[in-house]
Amino acid sequence: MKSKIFPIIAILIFVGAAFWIVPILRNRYFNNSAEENGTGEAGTESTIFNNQNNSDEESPVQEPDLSQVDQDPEAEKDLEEEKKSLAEEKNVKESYLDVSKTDCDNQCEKYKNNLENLKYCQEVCGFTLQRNDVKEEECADEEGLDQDYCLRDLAISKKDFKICDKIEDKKISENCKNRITEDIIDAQLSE
Amino acid sequence: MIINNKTKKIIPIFLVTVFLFGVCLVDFRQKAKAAEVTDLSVDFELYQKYDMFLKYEKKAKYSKYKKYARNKKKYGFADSGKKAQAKEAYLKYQLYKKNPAKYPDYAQFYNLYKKYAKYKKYVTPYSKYGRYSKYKAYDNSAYDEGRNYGGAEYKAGYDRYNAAIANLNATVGEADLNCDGGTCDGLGPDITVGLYSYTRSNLQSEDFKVTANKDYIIKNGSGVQIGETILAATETHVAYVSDKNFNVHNSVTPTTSNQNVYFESATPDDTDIIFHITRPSSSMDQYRGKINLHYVNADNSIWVINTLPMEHYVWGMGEIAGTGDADHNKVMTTIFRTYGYWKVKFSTKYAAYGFKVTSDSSSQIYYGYDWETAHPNIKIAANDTAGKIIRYLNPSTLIQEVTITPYSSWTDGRTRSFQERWGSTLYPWCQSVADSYGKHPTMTTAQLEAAGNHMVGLSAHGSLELATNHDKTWEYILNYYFTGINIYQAYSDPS
Repeated sequence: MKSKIFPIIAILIFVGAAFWIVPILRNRYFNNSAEENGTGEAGTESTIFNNQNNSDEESPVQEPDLSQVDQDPEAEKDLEEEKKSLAEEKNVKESYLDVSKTDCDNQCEKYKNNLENLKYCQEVCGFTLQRNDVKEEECADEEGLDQDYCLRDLAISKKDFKICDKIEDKKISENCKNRITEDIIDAQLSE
Repeated sequence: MIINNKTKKIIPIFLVTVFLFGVCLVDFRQKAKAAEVTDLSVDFELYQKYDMFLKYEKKAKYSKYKKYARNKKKYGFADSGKKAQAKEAYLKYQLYKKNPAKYPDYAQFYNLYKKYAKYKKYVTPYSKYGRYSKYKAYDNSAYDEGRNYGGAEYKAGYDRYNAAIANLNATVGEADLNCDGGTCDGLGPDITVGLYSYTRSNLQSEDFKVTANKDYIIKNGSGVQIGETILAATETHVAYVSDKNFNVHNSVTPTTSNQNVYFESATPDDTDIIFHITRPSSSMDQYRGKINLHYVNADNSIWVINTLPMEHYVWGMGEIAGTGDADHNKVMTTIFRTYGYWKVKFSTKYAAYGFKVTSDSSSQIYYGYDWETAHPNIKIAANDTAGKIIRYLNPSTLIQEVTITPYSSWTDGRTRSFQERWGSTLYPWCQSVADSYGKHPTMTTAQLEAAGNHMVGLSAHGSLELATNHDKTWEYILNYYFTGINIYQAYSDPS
């Protein structure tokens, strides 16, 4: 009898410890992958393709008849990867660079060695004059930051805050809204 | 040592149990450590690592852009015209496929149909990544390390750090402008005012002339002093020559200065100097602070710019004469200061010209020292409210925002919200309120609007009425017309 007590206690301890440890191991090693494979992917995917439909103008026709189209193996591989990575997409606005008031006060000196960065800083600080003759179609043909600059100029020329919301870059979008506010308020002061 | 069979069976169970306890112990210690690790410096480390992860994400986004660019190059169109042409052909060939007998002519569009179908398949899904070209700077393997820092603990540290900063913001918020070098004696941050401009030919035919009530110095475009200190009341002349060059003369040996000429007190941090300029078509010639003649590349104009501390700017406000009730004057000076502060912080409208506000009604009217001395009540009200601006605590971001505070002379008995008048929800402190105090006695809404009364924010006559005949304080009046605001001491009171 005495010889059985030790293994029984050991088994009870083992069961108890296992009960305790399973959630810990699960949280540590299996949580992220569960999230990645969860509903987020499908949700994002549908958003992407909705955007795609919107961006592809007013086409009333169905998807292309792909059987008639030659397959491009490299592009097909990209498409597969694209589907897999959709879960990582986030729709939060972010700034290309963290341009500060000091940067503006210093005429963007900090960015003078990189033309793209310098242009971004100058645009954020307002050192470039806005265009008043921008057309919507022009902005559609632009991409990246150039599209954001274009939309900003369009929004300012039309005094339309909603266009500022379409701007991807956070700082350019804020800059757009502040500039429209300036124009509105200052126009009232001058009346 | 003799080990019996029972002991042999027990040993593995015992070892496994010890291992499991070990794992639990490590986990407990980690949790205990995490509980201790709440100070900002540790969270800052996690913040930095998660920030590296965010950069890695940008790198990944740039990879998507590269795919987009590659496919666009391969399957895209030279311009939107050719794209539209292909799309039309695509639609026609679709019709042919559905009904070849009816649309036999559309069979010819097969090649364009194929081209557009490929565009739809291989380019359109990526078109949203076109904007990721901006992440070119992140196309560097150095950011690959960031892939390891996307975990929950890093994100939690990142969030905690941001929350701590937001907490600081809840105190200072956007009102974080510092005095230049911290030596502005409670007069606030500097504001740059575009006083007026010359054309190049104007300044070739007639000199810009300036004197001061105290000794002053002149600096060239590179910030280097020209000549010796100029004695008070000595007139300096500046003419435009060519190629952005000015000629500075009369008080100094004629000297060329490129792009800018600066005039400032010979005594550093002097806040009492007053420059006298010969301003064309205006009797408002005296200005505190510094004067700068600036060549504007954008349109080849030459601007006279006055740089001065915020309080001095408010003292010279030409929007009011200061003849009304003292509390009304305090309302208005607080609004002027808040407007100036907002402009210094957010304005880009005149950035290409080198200043933040104009001196005329395109911004707030600023007449400078002549107006200040002729209307002393403005300075009294400004001193009584010195450094105070209007903020709004944004409930969703918990950031104290510096407000923009519109006002008009009269209303029709109700103010309008910013959204109602101008369609934006960005300024929730501008809500519609009843305004029997500022209601015009005779004019209709249309007549008021035609006269420039937008009726958003403060009603100036309402403020005057509340202060004069209802004994309301300036704080009450501001809180009446602006919803959910708080009045904040943005910099110290000079008194």
